[in-house]
Amino acid sequence: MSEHLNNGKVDIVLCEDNADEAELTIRALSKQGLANSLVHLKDGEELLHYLNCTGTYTGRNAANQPRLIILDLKMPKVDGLEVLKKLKSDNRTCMIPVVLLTSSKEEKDIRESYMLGVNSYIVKPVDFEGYVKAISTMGLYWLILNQTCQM
Amino acid sequence: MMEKQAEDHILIVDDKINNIYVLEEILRQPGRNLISVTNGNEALKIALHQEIDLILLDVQMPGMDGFEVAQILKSNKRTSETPIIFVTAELKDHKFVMKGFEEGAIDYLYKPLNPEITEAKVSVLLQLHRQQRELMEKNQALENYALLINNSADLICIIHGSSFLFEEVNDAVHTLLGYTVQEMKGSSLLNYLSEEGQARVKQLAAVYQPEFLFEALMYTKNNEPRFFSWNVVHKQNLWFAIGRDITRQKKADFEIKELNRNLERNLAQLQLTNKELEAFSYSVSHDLRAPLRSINGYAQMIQEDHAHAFNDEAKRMLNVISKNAQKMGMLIDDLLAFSRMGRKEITRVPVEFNKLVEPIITELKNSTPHKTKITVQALHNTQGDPALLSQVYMNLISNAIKYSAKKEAPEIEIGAEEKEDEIIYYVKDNGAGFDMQYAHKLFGVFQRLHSNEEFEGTGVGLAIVQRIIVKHGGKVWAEAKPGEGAAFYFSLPKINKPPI
Repeated sequence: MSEHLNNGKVDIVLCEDNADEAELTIRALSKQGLANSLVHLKDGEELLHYLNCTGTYTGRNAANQPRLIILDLKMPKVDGLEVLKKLKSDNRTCMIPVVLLTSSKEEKDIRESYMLGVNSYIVKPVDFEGYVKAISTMGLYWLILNQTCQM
Repeated sequence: MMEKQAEDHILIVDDKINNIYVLEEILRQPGRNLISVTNGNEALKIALHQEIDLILLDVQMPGMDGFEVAQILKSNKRTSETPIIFVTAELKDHKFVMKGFEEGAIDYLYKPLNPEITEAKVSVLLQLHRQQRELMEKNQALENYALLINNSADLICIIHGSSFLFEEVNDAVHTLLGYTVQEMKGSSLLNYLSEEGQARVKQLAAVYQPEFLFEALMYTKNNEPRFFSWNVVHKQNLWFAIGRDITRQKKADFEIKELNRNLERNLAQLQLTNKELEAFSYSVSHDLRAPLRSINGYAQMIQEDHAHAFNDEAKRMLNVISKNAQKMGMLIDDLLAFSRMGRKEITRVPVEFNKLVEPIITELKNSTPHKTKITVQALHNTQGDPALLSQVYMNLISNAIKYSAKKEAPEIEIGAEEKEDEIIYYVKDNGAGFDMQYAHKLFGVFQRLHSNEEFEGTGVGLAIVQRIIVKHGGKVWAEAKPGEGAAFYFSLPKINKPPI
């Protein structure tokens, strides 16, 4: 696992503190065959270490940045908006597409996220079918359809 | 009566024309108006009806003699001060007559008349009379001033500019401070002032200003504090000052300020509460939904991955779990919508109600297929928040559709009625209705009068309606009969026109 984390090619980084929610998301992505190279991180702090190859991720190959970051808004330590702000203001990470996947429909959250440069904002549907559909559509769009900028 | 350079009116009374002629000859000169009559009655008539400055009165006349005429003149207020010169041939009654008329301006001339003495006496008496009249007029004016000053509700006084001693003070001091005029005169203004007031007065006196204003706390004889506003004109080291008791005004000002402070405190508290509510609804939105999604998701995952291990009963139960989780998701969404509504600032613009309602009916036709006949009357217009009022109609009309759907021929009527200072809007249906004894529960959050099996719903729609209407300064109410239909009313204030 650690070998894979540090050196393998990564498609998606899922940053989500709730393990159950993460499992649902990963399951939805798996149904589209999009979860083969996915890394699940537990909070914003870990994500920053991962992207910057610091802390427990010292030595990770910085050339292997993810093609998509799926970010929860409300997380312990460093929350989604803070992470978003940091990685969008850093030249090394600002090009990575970030999708906010959250329960919050608050206008304030939505506005703030876009101000900070989020690429997409998705409100999690409560029903599982809707949820699976939303995640699949989002994954297909960002990983298959969307053209990203090679760093 | 306008006086043109004070003409003197002299009344000559004598029964003999010759005597009158002699007197007229002696006294005639510019500035004098000579009126002559031949008996006492005539004399009285004239003297009592016009201004006379001097009367030359013959003593011996037939009928009423000169003394009798004089007595009447002296007893009348109008003529009591008019000087009289008796013209008589003899000295004999002189002493006796004098007694009766000591107070008035009285003199005597003896026949035959000496022109010089006659003219001299007349001109002296005229002058005296004129001076006396001027004095009286001045006195009257002074009395009026005194009345004016002493009847003032404000303290009017003259204060010495360096010793601060009261030189003059009006009667108002008694009502305002409880001291008599005598007690105040000669005492110092400083005695009645608070320490702060004394300092203020000394400071004001230090630099000459022709006029100045100040406010100071004063003490009455009973040592009660009173707030005075002073207005001073400073002339030749004298303060001509007017002091007004503004205690009541000050108290009212203080109360208003206190009320404002309370209002501000309440507002701050309200803002804090709103913030807390916001935080609360935020966590409800995020934290309460996540576990629901897991319940839902994992129930689904069991069905997908382990369906073969479950019988039909177990699958039904899993379904119940999913359904309830979804229902709770809806409840949370509605509750959030309700709480968001409470925090929303409303805008007030003129709203055309028929134009507002029309698209809602179209939208409902498309989203909820129904056979309801909807009639819209001409609706009165007023001002409000178009988005929120749309929400009101959306909720009321969709309710009406929902609760009348089971009728043979469901009908909805949308209308309005103009009252004195408000407009009452209504949405009536011929649907299920409800028992009026539960009417008070209608507008509460999550309050329902029908089971979910009968009619689906979360019980938030009408609570939102009430919130919106109350925010607009209106009221909501309903009338209904079970099985016969319901009418929902809401009132909105008419557009406020400024008074001018």
